[in-house]
Amino acid sequence: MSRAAFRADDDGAVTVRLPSWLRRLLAEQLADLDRLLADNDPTTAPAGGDPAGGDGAGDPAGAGADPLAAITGLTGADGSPPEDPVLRRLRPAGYAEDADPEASREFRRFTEADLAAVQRARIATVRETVLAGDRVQLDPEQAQAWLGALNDLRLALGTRLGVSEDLAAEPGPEHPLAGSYELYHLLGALQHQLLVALGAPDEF
Amino acid sequence: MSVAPIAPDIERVSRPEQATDEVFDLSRPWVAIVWNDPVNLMSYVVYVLQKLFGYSREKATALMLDVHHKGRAVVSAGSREQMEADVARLHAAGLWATLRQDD
Repeated sequence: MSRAAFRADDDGAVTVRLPSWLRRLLAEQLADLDRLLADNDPTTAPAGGDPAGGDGAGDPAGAGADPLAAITGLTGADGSPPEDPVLRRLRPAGYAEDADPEASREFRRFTEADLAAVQRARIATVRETVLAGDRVQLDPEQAQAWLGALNDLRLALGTRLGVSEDLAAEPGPEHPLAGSYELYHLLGALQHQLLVALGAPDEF
Repeated sequence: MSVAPIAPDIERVSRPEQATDEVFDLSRPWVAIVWNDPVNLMSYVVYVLQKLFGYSREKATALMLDVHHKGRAVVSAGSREQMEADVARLHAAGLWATLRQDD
């Protein structure tokens, strides 16, 4: 990319210009990430056997709606940490896990559904706009969605690859995962360009 | 072996005004901690700290460098509820954060 992919406009908007191969690649990667989040939606996770929520057994009006959840914002999930390392990174523990597992569970039960909704919403925004054309203008809200979704994508890919801060430890160009590393660094460059378009200093 | 305390004059002992918990909370606030991770860009962490907490670029940069060099930094302090909200916002921004009571 010889020119910047993101350019600041006058009114807080950001114009994004990406080659079509990269737009398709981004759309595919985001679709994969969205599938992972949707398949592990905390609001549809099986209840953790909480006896306080047991009024659904034989409930004649029980059409899946949980009145307690509607009032408290608590989901049916039991607040245990996800097994997939990518999900664990995207939905971290609120308390260092061994310090207070019970508080961590409560934190998850109160926050995880909102977090998942925010993540999926910004993926949806990028998927809608990324395929809209070679040159798309993002309003400030859409630009924030791009920033967050690019970061989520890097977190997911970086976790799968097990990246470290040591660039010298990365495999060479013959490695089967060399393309994934290349994409990971490309996403980082894009995110940095977007940050600069949003007013961040061009440093670090 | 110790000497039994002299029985207090009940009439003259004043009852504590408040439960000691509130004093305790003030002296040991809860804190939100951001942990170093190999993925988040330094520029992004500075941007998020400025945006979420209204910090100056200098303060946000100093906190980011603390995270980078020391492995973690306290980025905010307050009540437990406030810190739970801050950590949830940090998670939504993709930062690795936890809360705990300060020691």
